[in-house]
Amino acid sequence: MTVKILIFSCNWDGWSCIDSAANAGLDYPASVNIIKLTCLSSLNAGFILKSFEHGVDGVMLLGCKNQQCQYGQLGDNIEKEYNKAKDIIKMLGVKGDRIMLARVEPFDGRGFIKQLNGFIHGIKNLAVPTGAQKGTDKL
Amino acid sequence: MSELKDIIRQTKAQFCLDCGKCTAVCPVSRYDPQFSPRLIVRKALRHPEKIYADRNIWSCSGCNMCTIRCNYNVSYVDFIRYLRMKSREHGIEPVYSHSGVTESVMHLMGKKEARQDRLDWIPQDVNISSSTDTAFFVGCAPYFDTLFKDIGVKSTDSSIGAMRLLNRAGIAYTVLANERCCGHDLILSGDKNGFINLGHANIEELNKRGIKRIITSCPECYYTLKVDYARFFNDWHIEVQHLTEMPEIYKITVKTSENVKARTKVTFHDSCNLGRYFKKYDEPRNILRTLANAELIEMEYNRESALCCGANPWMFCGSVNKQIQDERLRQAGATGADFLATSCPKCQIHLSCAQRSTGQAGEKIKIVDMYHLISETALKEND
Repeated sequence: MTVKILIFSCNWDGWSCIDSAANAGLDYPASVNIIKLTCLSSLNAGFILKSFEHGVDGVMLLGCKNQQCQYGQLGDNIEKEYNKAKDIIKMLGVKGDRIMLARVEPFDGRGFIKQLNGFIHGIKNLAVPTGAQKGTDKL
Repeated sequence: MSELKDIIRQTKAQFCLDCGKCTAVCPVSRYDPQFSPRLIVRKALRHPEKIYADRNIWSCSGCNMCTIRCNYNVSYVDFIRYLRMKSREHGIEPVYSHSGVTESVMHLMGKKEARQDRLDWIPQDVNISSSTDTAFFVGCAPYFDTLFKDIGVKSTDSSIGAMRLLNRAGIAYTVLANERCCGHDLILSGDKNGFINLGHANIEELNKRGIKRIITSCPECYYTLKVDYARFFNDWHIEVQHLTEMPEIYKITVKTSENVKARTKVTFHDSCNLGRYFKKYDEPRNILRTLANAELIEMEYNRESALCCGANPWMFCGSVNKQIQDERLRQAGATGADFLATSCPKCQIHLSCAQRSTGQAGEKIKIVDMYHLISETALKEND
């Protein structure tokens, strides 16, 4: 099963990890697409949900560690939007961890690939794509 | 072209006399001189090829003030809705507020395979029956709770209040775990496909549960289910009632204890759908008066002339909308009431958002949903 992943990456530490992974010749599946943003703080839950609307199986948010943001953002904005999107996805009945917020060290290509593979593996184990979840009819 | 002619005929747009009453009463025109309902009709009649690209067709909030005032009952809202649908067919997309989050939620809900998990907010004391053919249609309240947590609005409080009221009136109802959004905002913003998907999913779900009657407290759900579903779906045969239509509600008696003898000062904000579309002005007021022990103080513009909450279907929210909301809050603040009661969860969200961001004269008034107010005051006193 091909797992479609969309990564929203910040221009700094997040992007540096992707760059390092590429330079080191580390592989990740071709079904992973990346959108580069200036800073993750500019991302809104709307864009995360839009990705699911367009049929991705998982969204990874790749950004700097809290104190290392180039713009002095404390990371509370992206955490708020991440939690919002997670709650909505859960309410929509989509099972499993479909959204991942990864805060990375700069130029840690290996660490990024490890996290990405773990994320993909987790979704693969669910064995059902986003659109075909079986939820519980409570009543 | 012939389709446009049909719509002009259906909405009676050809009767527009260019008298300008619609523009004079339109809340959007008041702050956006570029916008005018009659000008849109004139442009559509004279240059139909250009109208779809006109940005102004996205500014209408659908409050129906124009049609109420129009001598010839030109249905501008339906006309605008059609123009939006055609505009989308021409590849034009509106600018969504909140990065399109509500639109995405509605589209994800519209998927046939969706199996939602959305009922964990219902408290233990609310009595839900599993053997009835009446359903309480909750609407998007659980999603709004998550999306608008930041502005301190909890829309499910409104649904809980309404459900307790139904319990007290002795009306048995069930709720659907996989109920979809009614699609009001999608159809108003011209997204016909999205609306049809939601409609089919809802009809399938309701039929599966053998539902024959729907009761709702949300004015937008009420309008959409009652009017639009009947218009768009041939297989729609479910009776739709608004909570204020139920005679049992008016038979509820509440005993007011000594400590709440003083009447709560409340000003009521008419929602466009319940008010101007269905002419239900007295019903919510009567409920507030009798059940919430409220002393009602009317705003300067009320009932038929009530200013709308200034919001579009989650798109193009800008300075014009904020100014309308601000004016409404000023009017509410001028009454000296303690509460501004709303009957529509979206009015509560939009006015609370404006109150938080502008901090004008109406900043002190507490915006509260009417069913929540009743549930927290009168019903609690009688427990």
